[in-house]
Amino acid sequence: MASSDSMLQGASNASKLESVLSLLARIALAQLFFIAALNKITDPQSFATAIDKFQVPGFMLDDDGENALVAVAVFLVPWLELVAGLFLLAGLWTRAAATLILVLLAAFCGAIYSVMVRELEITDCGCFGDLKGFCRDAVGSCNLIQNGVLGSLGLIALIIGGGRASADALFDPDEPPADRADDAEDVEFA
Amino acid sequence: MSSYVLKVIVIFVISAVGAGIQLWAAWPVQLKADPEAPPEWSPPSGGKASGGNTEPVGGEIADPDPDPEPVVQETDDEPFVLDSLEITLDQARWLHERGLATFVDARVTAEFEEGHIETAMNISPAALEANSSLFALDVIDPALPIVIYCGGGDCDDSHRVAELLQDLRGFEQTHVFTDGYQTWADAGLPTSTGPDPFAE
Repeated sequence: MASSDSMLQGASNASKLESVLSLLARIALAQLFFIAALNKITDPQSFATAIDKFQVPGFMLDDDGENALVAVAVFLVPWLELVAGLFLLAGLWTRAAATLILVLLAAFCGAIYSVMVRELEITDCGCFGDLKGFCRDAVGSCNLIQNGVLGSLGLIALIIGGGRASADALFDPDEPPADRADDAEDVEFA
Repeated sequence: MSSYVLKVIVIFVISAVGAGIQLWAAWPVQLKADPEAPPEWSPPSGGKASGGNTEPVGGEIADPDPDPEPVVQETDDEPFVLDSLEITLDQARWLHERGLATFVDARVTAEFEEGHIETAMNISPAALEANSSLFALDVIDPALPIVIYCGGGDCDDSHRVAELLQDLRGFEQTHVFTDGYQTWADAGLPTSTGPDPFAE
């Protein structure tokens, strides 16, 4: 594993190991989020049903099937997954895309944890649309572990950045990591 | 504003534009809490058939319609009203999948043990006539419809059990799945083998 200092390099300054690690993490994460996003985009009803079953206050459909928050989530979340996944795959604005992915995963984990606390029996989390994903039993710790693994991949992309095999290395080679971005006044916006 | 935050916002905006276009294309959006659950029920306009049940099959009762039309099952997933004694394979399957009916196998014990509809209990006409304290009758939920079947074809045991359950035992929501077990099994629907756990 590379040292923490080397991890704070720009995309073109990443080591070979870091670049390969980032590339693998980005491909794996993007692929899973593509599948999840496309399943949700092509079948918003299934995703709406899944959201409703979580019974999160404010995110429950009424008898007429109306709830602005659910409608926004049903259409926005899959597109966030798709677009952030595309940016990750290309390695363009890698850290920004990884941040969005991590925020989404944190929200999913929060919803799953609330289901576990309330002891709700939900057979399908809707994480991958109609597909079952890795967890085939009721929503619970398996889904948290699954999201934890995905979050680890996102963290790799966030810490290392795009690496050498990325669009960042071509267009934004000196992109600073997230925690130093505020101090980097001389960084051009790609 | 740092370029990092700006990039996050730009990705978010691109996503929002995509979502907005999809929402615009799909407008007006009709999202249901659970499309598989029949949300509303309209009572039938005609009289109730012998042994028929005009209670809704699952879901909540909507406001009464002054000039209602019967809801007829057109597709596999549409709600319907049990307003006739005899029901079809699709209706039986619909009820079975949702656990909204008690299934009773009217054939003899040997046939039942060779194969029966999953979760069904075995009550033959002979057993019903002979035994006034069948354990199976105690576990039947009178609030749910009872679907009775036998071998299908010329088999009449299911009709006989339906009559006995209505006349002697007071169960009102009895229905006969006329196509019977063989049609159910041929359709690849869930079956079980072995003795009836509710048999005394």
